Amino acid sequence: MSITYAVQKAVGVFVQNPLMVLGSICVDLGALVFFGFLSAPVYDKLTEHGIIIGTLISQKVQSARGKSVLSMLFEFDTLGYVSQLVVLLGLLLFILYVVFVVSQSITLLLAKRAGGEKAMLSVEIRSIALKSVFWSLVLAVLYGIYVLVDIRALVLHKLFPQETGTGIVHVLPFVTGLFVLIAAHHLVGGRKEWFWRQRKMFVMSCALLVAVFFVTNSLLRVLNAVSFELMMFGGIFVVFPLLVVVRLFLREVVKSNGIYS
Amino acid sequence: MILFVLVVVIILLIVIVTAYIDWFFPTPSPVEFAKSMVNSTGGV
Repeated sequence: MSITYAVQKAVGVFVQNPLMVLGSICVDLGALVFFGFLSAPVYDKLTEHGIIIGTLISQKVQSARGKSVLSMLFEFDTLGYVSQLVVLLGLLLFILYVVFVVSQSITLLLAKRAGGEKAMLSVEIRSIALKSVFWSLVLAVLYGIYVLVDIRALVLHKLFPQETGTGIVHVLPFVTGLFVLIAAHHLVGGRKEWFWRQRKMFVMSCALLVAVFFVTNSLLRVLNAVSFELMMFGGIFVVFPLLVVVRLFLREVVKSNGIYS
Repeated sequence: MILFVLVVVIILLIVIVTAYIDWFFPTPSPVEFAKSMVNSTGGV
């Protein structure tokens, strides 16, 4: 199977199943709104804790010289807020995980049924939940590296303002992008054997997705330059249907060699 | 069936925790926090 056939098949299924498309868009949009509602109070609490910890630390820095900021974080009066901050970050990741698993299970079920496959919601939930545990850990590690790099850059900028950033800052987005592409193929049913045996197909699929993302991003930037409302309108009416096509396309791609789950 | 019940229970728990987040993660009000800061620094 070639990439062009996968694109044709995905677009064909998209055009022939308007109800599936509408359902998938509603689920994706609903998941985004639901995540917004659930995460807003957690973000507010994180901000409150950040301000309190920042105030306590700055007060300690003035009075106790020679102590590291890290050791101050684990002192009696700040430890309670720091541990709550860690739990809040975990809660935010868990909310994202649950909303992602439920919404992607439903949309993948719709995509599979529209493509003529037999699928059950319970099987999809179990499969995506297991795969997402691994990718959540990867996401958490990457986020941790981003935070460390940011702190390092901040400290370096304070000490040497004339110095520019180091290489890792430029490499990280590419690494993240590669992980996202692998995760996207894995979550729709790609297995380990498929990635190795169909590596040419995988590379071409990734190249096409990057090109589509680049064009969409450029289009939204142009719309944003005209007006923000136009960008929002374009975002909803371009990005969400595009997500449905991409999901159908990825499913066709991973089905190419008969090795899929 | 058990899986669906589990998913619904998890979502309900998340909704309850986020709705009553002040109860689960208490923080002092801005006035209380400012008072404690003033007390700990001796009025500065």
